Amino acid sequence: MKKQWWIPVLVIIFFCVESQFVNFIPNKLFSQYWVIVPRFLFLLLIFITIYYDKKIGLIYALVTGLLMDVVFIDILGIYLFWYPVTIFLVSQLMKNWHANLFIVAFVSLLAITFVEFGIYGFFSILQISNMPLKFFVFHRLFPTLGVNLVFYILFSYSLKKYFTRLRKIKSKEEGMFQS
Amino acid sequence: MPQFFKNKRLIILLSGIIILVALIGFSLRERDQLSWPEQFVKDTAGFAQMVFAKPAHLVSNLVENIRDLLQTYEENKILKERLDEYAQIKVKADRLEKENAELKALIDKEKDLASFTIHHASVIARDQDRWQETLTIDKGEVQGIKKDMAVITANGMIGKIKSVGKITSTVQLLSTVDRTNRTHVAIQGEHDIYGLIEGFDVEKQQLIIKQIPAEEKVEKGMDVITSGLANVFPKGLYIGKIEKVEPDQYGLTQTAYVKPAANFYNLENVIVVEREMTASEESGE
Repeated sequence: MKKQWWIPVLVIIFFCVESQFVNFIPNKLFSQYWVIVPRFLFLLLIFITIYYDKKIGLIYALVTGLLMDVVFIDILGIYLFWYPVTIFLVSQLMKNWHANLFIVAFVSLLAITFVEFGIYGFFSILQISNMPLKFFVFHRLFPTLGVNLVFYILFSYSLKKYFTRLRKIKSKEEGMFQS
Repeated sequence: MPQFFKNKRLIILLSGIIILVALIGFSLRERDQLSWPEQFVKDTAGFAQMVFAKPAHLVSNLVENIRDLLQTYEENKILKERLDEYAQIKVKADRLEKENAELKALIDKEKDLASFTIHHASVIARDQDRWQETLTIDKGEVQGIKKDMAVITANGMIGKIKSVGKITSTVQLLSTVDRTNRTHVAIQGEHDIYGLIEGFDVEKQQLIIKQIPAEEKVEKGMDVITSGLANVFPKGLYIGKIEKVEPDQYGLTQTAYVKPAANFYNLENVIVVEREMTASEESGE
């Protein structure tokens, strides 16, 4: 089996794991006044964009954004907007920066913060949420960042290795076609 | 001007924004049914999630079982104390039930607002961003689930069906902040006091009942149940206990905070409740 076929499989796995995580883990381990949002899929998208291919990352961001909107939110256009936009900004930002794991961690947290604030803004405008800003920052944003950072520390090394290897294979193949 | 149209990126961006706004507008209006592509995607995703939900449930059950084993001794002590009480209540309930059935037979009435049929379902996913607090369950249109049915657990009511797919459906929890998420409830005092659950206080994790008339005496510890008058839920589904009451800004009405009886987390199995009769039918009799 070709190596890049694992990308969609990974996306599906992360998508399903997120929704199970939210149902089972947060209440058992953490305070119920915290809202912890797993953004594992989004982290995966960031890895695809930075270490593999910008275009493919953007396409996956569009598809998963639409998927999240349809399956969970019932309002089309929220994740469909924020996922691709953030991924695009990340790819622009990483043009000038060296992609080592510390910088990517920083960029990932920044991106998650950006997405959270964006969606919070959308929902506040649409009057679906009445969460005060202070509560949002302390009970939602910080725990979310913490949990995702832990996830990042656990999986970033293997993900980076996997995607850099994919990129090598890909550039080799492209080189072959050109010559 | 021609240069403007040559700028491909700008055109794509603008048309993208237009499509986005149209999509949001399209999906925000009140819809009775999902469009078929949405249903299809939801069902497919639901199927994939089911595969992941099964092992998750297994692990969760295992953990729960171990915890139960550790607590058995203390629980047993409490339960033994309760057992005597239970026998008395059971006898009384049996007697009342029989009496009720006889009286109903007397006035030729089979169904009332409290009667319902149930569908069992298991939770296969929960939305991860938690703004809307929805669950996905593994029963849908095919199994007879319809929009706006109440969803309960053994402890109390948790929400209602928001949208239905063919084999999955989405449950909106009571804790969702949404203008359309209203539940008509009765507070059980000396007589029933009616009110409307209008939202959820995220900081206190409590439901808010507004617009209770100021002269009604609502106290801490009173039980809150569904009223059955709003044509949506059957009567008597337990919601929770009153935690705090405070007068509103102008002193004309009061606001009560309700601590929900059901746990909104770690949900595995839920019960969808279909009422057999609507309030308009009853008043028509």
